[in-house]
Amino acid sequence: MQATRSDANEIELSYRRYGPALLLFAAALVGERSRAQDVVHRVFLKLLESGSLREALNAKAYLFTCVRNAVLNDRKARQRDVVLDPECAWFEPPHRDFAAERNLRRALWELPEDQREVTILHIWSEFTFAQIAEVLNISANTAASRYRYALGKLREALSAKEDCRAHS
Amino acid sequence: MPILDDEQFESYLKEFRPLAPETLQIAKQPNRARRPLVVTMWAAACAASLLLAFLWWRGPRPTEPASTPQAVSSQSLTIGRANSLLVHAPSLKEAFDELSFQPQPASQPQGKQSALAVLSKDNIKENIKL
Repeated sequence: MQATRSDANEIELSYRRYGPALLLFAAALVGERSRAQDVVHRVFLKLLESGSLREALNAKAYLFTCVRNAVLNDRKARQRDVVLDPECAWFEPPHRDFAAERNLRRALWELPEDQREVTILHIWSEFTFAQIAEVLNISANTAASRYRYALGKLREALSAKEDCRAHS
Repeated sequence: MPILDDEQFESYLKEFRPLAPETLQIAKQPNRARRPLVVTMWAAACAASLLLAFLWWRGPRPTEPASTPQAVSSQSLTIGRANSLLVHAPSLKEAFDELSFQPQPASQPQGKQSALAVLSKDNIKENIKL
């Protein structure tokens, strides 16, 4: 069943609204921005082909779940380790501080994957822990706990890298 | 980096804006699917206006006056003339007679020849010489 015009508009609107966060989420799981973009595009193409977002109770959570499943399928199909592409930025940094952007990207990549995805979902996708629990199929407490660990590690890593920059 | 509490650190992290993905090309597909219809409609409109322009240019044809059998008889046989003969002839037999005995093309006056006849003779002579 192909999406109707209003469904397509809704999907397009969701793409514009959640696209950046979905791309970041996918990139944080696959490492490469181009692959992440492929995954996000595939999800939206499938949505346009198969129907609408109306059936989903929470469209935002549904989209993130779809992207996560697509990433896991993609990984299974490729059967190879994911590596961070050092050249492709994930963020537009404040004050055009591209070194800070690279440091943040690396610090995020060094986090365990389960902590990384919770961090991305909470900070840049603005999910509550209850919503994260729904997307990742874990409890809200687990999500909150992973987030606290992740935040501590991020702060530590970024402080260390900032100190290196200051001394060099 | 100064020591920040969790809230400040979160705010700092949120200053980094995730980059937007490339445009989803397929989102424009419904428009693309509609394009052939639009093109067809435009083509149809153009064809219709051309047809109207042609009809206007030709204008209404003057209606030919109904010809009498006498007048018709001197003309070449056409479907129109045959119809006219059938309508105006007193009997079917006379109409067929009129159709059957067509007047021969007018012959040239005495001492004059048509240019075509002269040329055709010249050609024959030249062919014989060769």
